[in-house]
Amino acid sequence: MVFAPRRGFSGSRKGIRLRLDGAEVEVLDDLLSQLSALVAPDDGTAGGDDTDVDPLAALMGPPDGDRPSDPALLRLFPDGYRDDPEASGDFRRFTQSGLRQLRGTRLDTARGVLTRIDADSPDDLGTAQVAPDEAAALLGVVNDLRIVLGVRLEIVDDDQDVTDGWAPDDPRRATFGVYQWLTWLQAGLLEAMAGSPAEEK
Amino acid sequence: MVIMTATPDTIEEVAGDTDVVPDRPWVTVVWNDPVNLMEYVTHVFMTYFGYDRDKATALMLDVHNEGRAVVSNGNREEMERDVEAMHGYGLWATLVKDD
Repeated sequence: MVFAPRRGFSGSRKGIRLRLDGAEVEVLDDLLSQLSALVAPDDGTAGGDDTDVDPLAALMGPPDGDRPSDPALLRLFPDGYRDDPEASGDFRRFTQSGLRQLRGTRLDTARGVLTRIDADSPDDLGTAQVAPDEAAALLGVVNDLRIVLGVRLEIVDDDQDVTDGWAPDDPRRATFGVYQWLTWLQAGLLEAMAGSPAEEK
Repeated sequence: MVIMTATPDTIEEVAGDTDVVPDRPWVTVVWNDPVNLMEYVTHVFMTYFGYDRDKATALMLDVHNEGRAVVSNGNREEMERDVEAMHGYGLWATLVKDD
């Protein structure tokens, strides 16, 4: 009988491990870079022509607390109040930079795990042991990725048939494939975390 | 209106024989979304709030079936902290004064 090592996350008494092939590592690494660019702090240096900034306004920030126009960013950094733009603006001003930082730290941790996966080619499987704090970071990162892809794919309903009406060669099919792969990966991670000693309190 | 049935423990405390209104008039509401896995939402409620699996699962099902659930209550500052934490986990949460 051939022993087929389990792909994705798995948990045992010895802890959690992540097993991916080189191609999967590459896809995930690319997704992490994209997420990193999306959630990176907007420090205002991108514009370059802000020489005329009112120092007080710069200190206080914009009245809406810099509410994102990108729906994916708005889903990652939602309003704190449902029907109160002013309170939401205050809330955003106090929380957004910390939340960006949290996501950045999680991304760094996730990258660290990926670099330990010793897959030498796209087909070659590699494995990394995942510490409990790394598992928590990966869980958040994979969830963020699914949220962003979910917004891009316009997934709005629990019972939605996402690919309904898509042509066979619709480029969104590839994105949806990645989304489904991330869902499988996250479900495996949750299962592994539930079964690992660190979770038993 | 905010449904309060999700946190029976704390409500019973409030109903004690005292005239002093406790300073817990704000609630954190988590809203349903089509992306977050049910098991993930349960995990977040267990990890962040320290709820046991049964309570976390019941709250998750409330979110899923009713579209939202009150997951915690307290003063405004505490609820802003909870909502911020939920946003960090990627859950769609808001706070509101419960009156």
